[in-house]
Amino acid sequence: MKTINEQLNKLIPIAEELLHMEVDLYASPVKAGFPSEAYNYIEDGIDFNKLLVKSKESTFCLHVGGNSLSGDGIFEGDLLVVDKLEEPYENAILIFSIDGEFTMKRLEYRQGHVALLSSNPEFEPIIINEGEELKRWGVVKYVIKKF
Amino acid sequence: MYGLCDGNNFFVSCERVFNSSLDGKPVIVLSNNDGCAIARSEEAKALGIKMGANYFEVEDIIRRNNVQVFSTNFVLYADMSMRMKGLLSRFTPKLEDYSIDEAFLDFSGVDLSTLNEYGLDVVRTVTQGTGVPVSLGIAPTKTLAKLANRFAKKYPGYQNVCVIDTDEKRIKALRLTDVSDIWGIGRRSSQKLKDRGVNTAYDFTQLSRSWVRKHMTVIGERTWCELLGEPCIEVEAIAPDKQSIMVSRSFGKMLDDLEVIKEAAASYTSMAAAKLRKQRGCAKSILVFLETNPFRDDLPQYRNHVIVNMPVATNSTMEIIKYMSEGLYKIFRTGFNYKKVGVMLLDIISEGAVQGYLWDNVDRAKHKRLMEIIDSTNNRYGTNSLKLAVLGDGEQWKIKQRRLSPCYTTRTKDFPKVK
Repeated sequence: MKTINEQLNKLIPIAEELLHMEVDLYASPVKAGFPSEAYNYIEDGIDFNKLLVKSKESTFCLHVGGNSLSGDGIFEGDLLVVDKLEEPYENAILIFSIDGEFTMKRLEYRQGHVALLSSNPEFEPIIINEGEELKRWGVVKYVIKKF
Repeated sequence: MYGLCDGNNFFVSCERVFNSSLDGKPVIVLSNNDGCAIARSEEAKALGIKMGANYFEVEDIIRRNNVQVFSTNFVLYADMSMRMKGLLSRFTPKLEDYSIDEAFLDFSGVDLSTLNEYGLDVVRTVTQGTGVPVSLGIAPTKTLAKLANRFAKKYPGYQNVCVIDTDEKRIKALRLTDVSDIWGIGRRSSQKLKDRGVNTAYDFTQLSRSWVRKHMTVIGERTWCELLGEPCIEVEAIAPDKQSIMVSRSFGKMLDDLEVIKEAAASYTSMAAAKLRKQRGCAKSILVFLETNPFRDDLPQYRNHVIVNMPVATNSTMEIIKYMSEGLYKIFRTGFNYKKVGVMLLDIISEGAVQGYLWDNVDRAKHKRLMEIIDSTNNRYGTNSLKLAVLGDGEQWKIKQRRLSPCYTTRTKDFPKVK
């Protein structure tokens, strides 16, 4: 035990030093000699905002709290990136707000009514009859899940 | 042409975006400390709840009609406001961020014949993109645009867009507008005008220019010109940096303990200093004020303020809190129940213009690095995620916000749930 502690004590100052070192990712580490040609080709890092968000002002995040879209691989705990400005495309997953609750469904136009469909066989379609109000809240653009 | 776009019952509408069970129900939002109504849904207005009505005055109406009541959720409203302004700026090169829920837009580039269409597109985009319904008034001057906006809201036929583009429409609008509803005419002026029989905006424009200048100064004259269709007030695209920054709040309950009051004052100082750093400024002095509740005339009254000059202009929270505390200790007297404390940063100069001081023993570079870490952490994880211990937990003094909704748009744990 004592030796372990001694070894650790020797390591701590090094760790401290590492913690306080400033690391500049983009500068050439070469202090002398020729800098590598590669440093002229540095590109911006990956920006997930750019990747996932087309319209920043109309994009919102929602937590998935149910398994009604299990057929699409969307499960409780996933995170949805939803754009309110996006126009729905064919087969799009839409967000509706019904009686104060958010629900994610596909929309199917049928004779005389529309149906809100889940992709989990345990969930029955929700029928919206003519004259009943249905407001689309947004369109699901991405699903983020943690493995 | 100019546009004035604002959110309809903005704070209430922000709550409704994330809670559709509020649709069609009377809803109000209360001011700081849950004191009075500062936003009302149409249903709440219809119940007779007035703007600024004290909660206790309307408590009965609230209970009998099941009015939904919310505390002010500044984080949510500020985020929704940014979204609204961002969408609006897609339609104009020049936008003036006039208040949290309204903006002036310069439409000079838009063809007059398509302006109504264009306006409808603006309203559609913002309403759909944020979920907050907005109204837009368009006219040759800012004052008239403000007036047109009222009509856009009032008459459903306009579909939230009202354009005043002919003299005929302008005169009609003026005749239908009470003089007290003109932007730029205060309560005292409008009373003075009414005493003279000037009741509508149209009556006001019929007064002679010299009379208006004589009795209502150049400000009144400017409004008079604008109502006649002559633009006098430009759209100011960039808000000038603030010359002073003030943060003050009433306590949740009255306080007599200096240390608790200091905690609150340190917390406001820290907010003010963060704002100061955001505009890359440094303050040379700080004003601290402290007061008892003026409405409690049964209690002994005391109010005082002090200005503390700092040796070197700074924006370090730690340094400013040190001088703030000195000031607070100077004005604090025992034996009073205090209701409010506040700080004001004064003599603000830009960071680059700070002059050193020969006997300065503060490690300014170190302070700067620490402040940068605090700011970036708080930007990422929310206000006060990282703070100085002197700020305390606010248990004793924080404002009452009993009916606060979640920060749906900015805090991960508060994102709405979808099933």
